[in-house]
This record gives sequence, C-alpha cells and structure tokens, in this order.
Amino acid sequence: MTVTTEIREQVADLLFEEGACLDQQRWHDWLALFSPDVEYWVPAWKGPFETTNDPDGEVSLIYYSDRLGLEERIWRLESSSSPAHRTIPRTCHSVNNIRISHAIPGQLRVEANWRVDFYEQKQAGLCFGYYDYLLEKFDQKWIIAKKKTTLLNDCIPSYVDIYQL
Amino acid sequence: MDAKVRITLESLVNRLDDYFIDDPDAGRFNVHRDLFRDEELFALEMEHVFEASWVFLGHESQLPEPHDYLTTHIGRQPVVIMRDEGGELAAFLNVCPHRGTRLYPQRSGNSPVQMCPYHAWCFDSAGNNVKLKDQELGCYTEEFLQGDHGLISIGQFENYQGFLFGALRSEVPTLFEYLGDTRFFIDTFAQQSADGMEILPGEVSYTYEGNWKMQVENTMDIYHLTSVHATFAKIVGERQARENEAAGSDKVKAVNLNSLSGLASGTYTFDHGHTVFWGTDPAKENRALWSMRDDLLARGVEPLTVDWMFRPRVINFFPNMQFVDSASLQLRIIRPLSAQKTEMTMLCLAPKGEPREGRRRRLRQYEDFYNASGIATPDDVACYEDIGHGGLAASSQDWIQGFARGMENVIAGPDELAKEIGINPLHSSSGVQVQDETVFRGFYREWRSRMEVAKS
Repeated sequence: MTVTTEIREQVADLLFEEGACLDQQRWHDWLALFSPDVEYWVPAWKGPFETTNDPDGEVSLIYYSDRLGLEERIWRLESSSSPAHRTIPRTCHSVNNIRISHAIPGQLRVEANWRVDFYEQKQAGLCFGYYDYLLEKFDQKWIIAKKKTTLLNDCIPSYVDIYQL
Repeated sequence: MDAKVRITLESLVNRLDDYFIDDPDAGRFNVHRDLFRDEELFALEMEHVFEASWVFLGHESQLPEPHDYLTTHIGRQPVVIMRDEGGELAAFLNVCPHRGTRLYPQRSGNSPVQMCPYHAWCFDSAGNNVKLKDQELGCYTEEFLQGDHGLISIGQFENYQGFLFGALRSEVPTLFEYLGDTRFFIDTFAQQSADGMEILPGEVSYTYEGNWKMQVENTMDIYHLTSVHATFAKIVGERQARENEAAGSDKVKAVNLNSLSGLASGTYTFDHGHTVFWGTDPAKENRALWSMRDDLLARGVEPLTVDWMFRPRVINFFPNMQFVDSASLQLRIIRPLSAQKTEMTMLCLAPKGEPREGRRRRLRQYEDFYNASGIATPDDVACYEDIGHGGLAASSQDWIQGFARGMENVIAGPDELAKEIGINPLHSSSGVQVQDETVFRGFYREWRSRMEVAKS
C-alpha cells in the first residue's frame, strides 16, 4: 500500500495528540484514542540490549490485553485516593523520528522515538525510549490497536505511570 | 577508615542508648528518627549490619550455565557470583587484585575468561588467575610469583534451596543457624516445583528517596494496607463485581485486600532479626500455584508446607531481602545507597514447569501490584518520600508514634500456630484485626546488637 503524505500527516497528528492528551491531563480523550481491545505493553529488560518479549512467560513493566487496565489507571489518577498521585508532575511529551514501517489497507505499523520531561516538587526528571504502534482504521479514523513502549532508562526514580511514558 | 571519622563513629555508638526506648513492660518501644537520616550512622550500619554477616545475593537460576556470572553488592562492596566450568558456584570480590579495577561491568553475563581492562590480568570462571600479562619478561620477585593472584573469595558463600547468600567476613554463624526457624517459611517459597524454582526474565529496579529501613517496615506493616492501597482494593473489588455480574472477566484475580480483614493473621520475630507476617487467603484457588497443588502433595511435600504455600506471607530476611507472597511471589532486594536513598531490585520467582495459564496469571498479578510501574507499590514509595519531606525534614522531631499498635497482643515465644508448625519464634502476635506494629522490634533489636559490637 502506498503511504501518502496525507496518511503520514494523520499518523503524526495522532501521535502528537496522544502526547498532548497526557500533558494536558485530558485523560478521557487519551483513552478514546485506544481500541477497547488494545494491547498496551511496556516490556522489562533482560539484558543490556534485550527487553522481555513474551508477556505470558516473562515480566513486563505493564501489560494489558484490553483497555480496562488503562481505564483503571485513569480512575486511580482521578480518585484523589492514591498517595502516588496526590501531586502529579507537569509533563512534556516529545515524539519524533516517526516511521511507518508496514502498511496494508486499514492497518499501519508505526515506530517512533519519544521522551517525556517531567517536573514535580521542584525536581525535573526524564523518561525516554521507543514506541511501536499498530494503528487500525475505524470509522474513518486511526485508532491504536497495539502500543508497545520501550523505556530505556528503566532504573526508575521512585515510580512511573502512563503519563510519563 | 580516617581516624577522625572513626572517633566520631565511636562516640555515636557509645550513645546507642539514646536512639532506643525499649521497655515493653512499661508499654514503651521507640526508635529515634536519626536512624533514618544520619549519614554517620549510615556508614556504621553499612559496616556492622551489611558487611558483618549474611546478606542475600541472588537465586541460582539467575546463572544457570557454566561460566555465567551475576554481579551484586554486599554493603558497599561489589561482588560477583560465578558458575565455573564444572557447574560449581562461588562468590568473589568483583575487583581485580592488581589495581582494584571492577572486573565484571554488567549485571550478568557469560564469560569463560575475564580480562581486566587495565593491565590485562585474566581470570577463569573459577576465579583463578590464568594470565599475568608479560610475566615472562620478569620484573616480579619470586616471592610475589608464589603468591595467589586469583580473585579474592568473600568470607562465606552458601546455597539454601537455590537461594544464594554471602558474607564478607568468614567468622559468621552457619547459614542454617542464621536462617533458623525462618527455614520453614523459606521452604514454602523453595519447594513449589519438583524441578525447582526460577527467577523469570525481567528484573526491575527503582530507587526511592528514603532510608532502607522504611522498606523493611513497610513490608511487615499490615496497618497500612487498607489506606495506602485503597485504590488497589477498590479496583480489585470492581473486577470481581464485573465478573460476578457476567459483565466482563477478571483477567488478574488479585488478592482482595478488603476480604482479608476479619481473618486470622499474625507475626513472628526470630533470632538474628528476621521477621514473618502471615495471613489467611479466602480465595486460594485464584493463585497461580493452585493447579499444581495436587502434584505437590503427590510428590511428598509436607502437607503443612503445602498448606502454607497458599497463605499470604512475608519473610523479612535480615537485613536485605524480603520474600513476599501477597499476590504472586516476589523477592525484594534492598540496597542502601545513602541514609536517604535506596535502590530496590525486584525478582519474580516461579515454579519451573508451571502450566502456561498459571504462568500468565502469576505475571498479571505480579505486574498489577508490584514494581515502580504497578498500581500498588508506587503508593508505598510515595509514603516513604512523604516521610522524608515531613518528619525527617524537621530535625526537632526525634520520635514518632509508629510502634505502639498491638502491644497488648504480643507474647513471648510461640503461639498455638507456631507450635503446630514446630517453630520457636522469640515473639508471636496473632489474632483478627491486630495489624501489629510490634513485629518491627525484632528487626531493631538485632540492628542495635550489631551496632553494639562496634563499641569493642
């Protein structure tokens, strides 16, 4: 399938919008970008350059086989009952080096590099890595059917949640 | 150590009485806040707590093949565990004896021969020096050449049921004696498969801004569960409700913390500072191990040991490791970096040969609760850090009120359950809704007795 400039723009718009939803704490707009049966996966590391690659046999940092886990996390953020979220950092998503690595009608595999700078309690922090998406056309729009996030700096300062990824 | 520093530390040790209130007959026990923030006390505890006796190093499954190695620390000292060509495990300082260069730079790997990057001395996987660069050119005395130039062994290294422990010093109790009656509980982690246990790929580490003893306390602290983990409990409850209403499936089947209240639980303290928490799980069949239960009994594991595999339980191994089973199994290794910074390494322990469905459930339960990316552990970490920003930030606050709960309930020696198991703890506390804080005493008394040694 030919990847047109229009498709490239649609893909970039989606990835940028996803980061903006998190940065602007538009949590439910963020959830709506995902398919209800999305696979959302943040693997752990098992060697200097190798992440875990079997979510049913090896440990992941986060693994959900549908959107429910993401909805639970958003509920936690909004509940004001989670000690980890009494304050939430200001975040700044930067998404770049976007490549469409595979394209068939109605389906795109998209890879990108990312970094999230965050700031909380007068301290700045940084998470960075790679995104690997499967996008599907649904109702004239691209939605996220799979998202794998590789976190390169995985000795995590304190804790990490979806808005830092 | 610098003589001036030594004098400062000695004067600290001589003031140890000032750091403790330990008078249970008068209903009093407390620990001074300086134990959580004083860098000089931290240097002393590195020497006398971490570097003076046994610490947990790793699990044998982390280095399964000949020439595999695994690096870690005992206190401030880098060490390396290696499996030699014949399969034997041994532990050494991770240091070239020539100039002191760190020899193995990675967390783990496989290396039949390791060459020091500085002057190219080479070592085999049994720690022998196999090459001293340019030795044939002379320049060394005969006396030097007759000496040992291999890697320096640590003082003691032992394997208990696959769990590897080491001590820098050689004059320590045997590991068997050091573990004492906690062995019953460790066996409930070690004997879950005829093929042995394994650490699953995907070790996770994080740091927090707080003293290492906060982690020790938190894992034994049952009082915090329903407040700190209220959102976790609510989420687990809603998953169950959806499944019961056939409105969706619960893919995790995590332990419902709210369902534990009203059921029997308790704590034990043991010699050498080890402590144990145990509870009652009303939904044992949700555990990944449930499908292997009949096999366990059929192959002759003690029925009492099997029964205890299905209880929520924590073994706090003094000083640096926690066996945790509050959902699936987790080993937590504590590495203090400074008085107010700690690095945690988290390992997922599982029975080898586990059916795929059980393994999947184990992993989902593990990721759900644990790790810096889960939906429960971050709430604990946030509380440790809030203590740093709160009471510990004010040097005027020397004492807290966190050791009183359950004081009326604790008894010397074994309770009925301990007698049934056949163990002899120093203290027991059990019942319903105790949420005991007296269990910390065993840990602090051992800490104190270690520091007392520094006086002599």
